[in-house]
Amino acid sequence: MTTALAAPARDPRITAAVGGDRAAAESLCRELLPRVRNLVRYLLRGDARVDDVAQEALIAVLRGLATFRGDGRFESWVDRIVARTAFAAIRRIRAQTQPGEHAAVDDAPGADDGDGRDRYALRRELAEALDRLPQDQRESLVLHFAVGMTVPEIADAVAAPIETVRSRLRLGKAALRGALGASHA
Amino acid sequence: MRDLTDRDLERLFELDDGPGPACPIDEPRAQTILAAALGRAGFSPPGGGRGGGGAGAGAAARAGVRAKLAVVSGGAVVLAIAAVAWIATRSPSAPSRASASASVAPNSPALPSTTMPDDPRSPSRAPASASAAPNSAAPPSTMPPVTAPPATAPPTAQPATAPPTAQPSPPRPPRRTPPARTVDHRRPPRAQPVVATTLDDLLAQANAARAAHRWRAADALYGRVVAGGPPATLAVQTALVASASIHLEHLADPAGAARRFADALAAEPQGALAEEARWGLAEAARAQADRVRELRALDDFLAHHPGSVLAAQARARRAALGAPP
Repeated sequence: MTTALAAPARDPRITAAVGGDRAAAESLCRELLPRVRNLVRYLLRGDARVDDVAQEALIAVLRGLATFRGDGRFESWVDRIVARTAFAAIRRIRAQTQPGEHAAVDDAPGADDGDGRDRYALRRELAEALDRLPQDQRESLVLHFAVGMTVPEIADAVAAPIETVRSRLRLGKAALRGALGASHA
Repeated sequence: MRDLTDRDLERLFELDDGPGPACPIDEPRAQTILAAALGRAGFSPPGGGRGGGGAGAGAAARAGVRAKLAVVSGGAVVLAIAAVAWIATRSPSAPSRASASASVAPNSPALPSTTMPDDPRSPSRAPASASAAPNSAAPPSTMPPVTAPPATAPPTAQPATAPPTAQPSPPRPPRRTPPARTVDHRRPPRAQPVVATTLDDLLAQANAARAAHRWRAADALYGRVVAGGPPATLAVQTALVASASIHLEHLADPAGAARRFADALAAEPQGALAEEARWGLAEAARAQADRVRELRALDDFLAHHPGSVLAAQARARRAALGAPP
C-alpha cells in the first residue's frame, strides 16, 4: 500500500504550506501522521512517548519544508527528518531514564478486522521484538528496512563505522529472526 | 517456520498508512497532535487568529504564542511586577516607572535572577499543549527581545493581531534622559517597546516572503533567524539552507550561498539538512566554475549520502568533470 504522497512531482500542498497555508500544511500532516507515528514506534522503545515524538517530528518537517527541493520522494525526505528527531528524543529519554526502568507497552486492541488486524498484530510483534534489542541494533534495522537507507548512509546517520553498522544489522537480524521465529514456532 | 528473509523484513517494516506498529489513536487525539504541531511550527489557528482576519501566519502565530504565554507565565509576570516595584521603592530617585508594562520589566538585566524564574517570552519554556514534548529536537528557539523599528518590521506582520502590551506605539515616546546622579542601573530600560519575536515567527515570515518571491526580504528574515539562535537548532539550520538557496538561485551570489551551506554543515554535519547543504555546496561551486571545489563537494556528498536520490546526478556530474569513477 502506498500513499498519495508518493507521486514524484512536487505536491502543490508543500508549496502552499511553505507560503503559510495552514489548510495545506494540515492536510499534509494528517496524511503523514500514521507513517510518522509508525516510524517513531519502530525507533522508540514502548508506546508512551510515541505521540510526543511524532508531534516533534511533524514540527521539524513543517519547519524544514522550505528546504525540500522536490528532487526525491517527499516521504523519504520526511522519514529521514523523523528518524533524526527520534534519535534526538531517544538521547534525551536515555539521559532521563533510570537504569532498569522499562518503557510501557500498551496492550492496545487491534486496528481493524481481518487482514488489517493480522498486519497490525505482526507489526506490534515486530516492535516488541525490537524493544528487546540493543538500541544501536534497532536503529540500524529500522533505518535499513523501514527508511531504506544503505549501510554507508546509516553509518553516517548514526556516526558509526560502516563495519560496525554491518555487524549491528547482522546481529539485529539474527535476533529478530529468533524472536519472531520462536513466537511462530 | 522458515527463517525470515531480508525481503520478509522489508515487507514487515514497510511504512505505509496501514495499521501498526503504533497503537491506533482516535480522531480527537490525532487532531490534538496536528493542531499542536501546526501551532508550534508557526501556522495561524483556523480563522486567522484572534479577530485578525487576514492576518499573516507569522503574526497570528505570534499572537497565539503571546496569548499562551500570558496564561502560562502569569506567575512570572506577577513576580516581575513585584520586582520592579521593589526596585522602585529602593530607588526613590528613579522616575515612577514601577507600573511599567510587564512586557518590559523582564528585560531588565539587573533584576535579581531569583525574581525571574522564567522568561515569560520564551515559548520553549511554555508547553504548547498537554501533549507537547518538553524538549523538542528542534526546539522553538527564541530570539532575544528586539525593539521593532518600523523599517525592519516584516512586511507580513499585521499589527491588528499583536497584543497591545507588546506592540510599539506608532509615535515613539521621546527618549528621556535620566537626571544625572540618579541613574539606577537596576531600573528597567524605558521607552523601549519590546516585541517578543520568536525564531519560529521569523522563519514563518521568511518562508512566506520566499513563497511570494520577495527574495531579498526573505533573505533578510532568514538572516535574523540565523542571528537569533544557536547554529545547531533546526530553525537556524533551515534558515541557513533556505537563505543559501536564495543566494544561489535568485541573488546571483554563489559565494554567499557557499558560505551559508558551509555554516549549516559545520554546525550540524549529521543534521536533518546536511544532505541539502552538501548538495548545495557542489552547486555553488559549479556556479562559480570552481571545478576542484565542485569535485571535492561531490565526493563529499557521495561519501555521506550514497543512497541519495541525487547520487546518480552527482556521479554523472563527476564523470562530466572528468573525475575517475
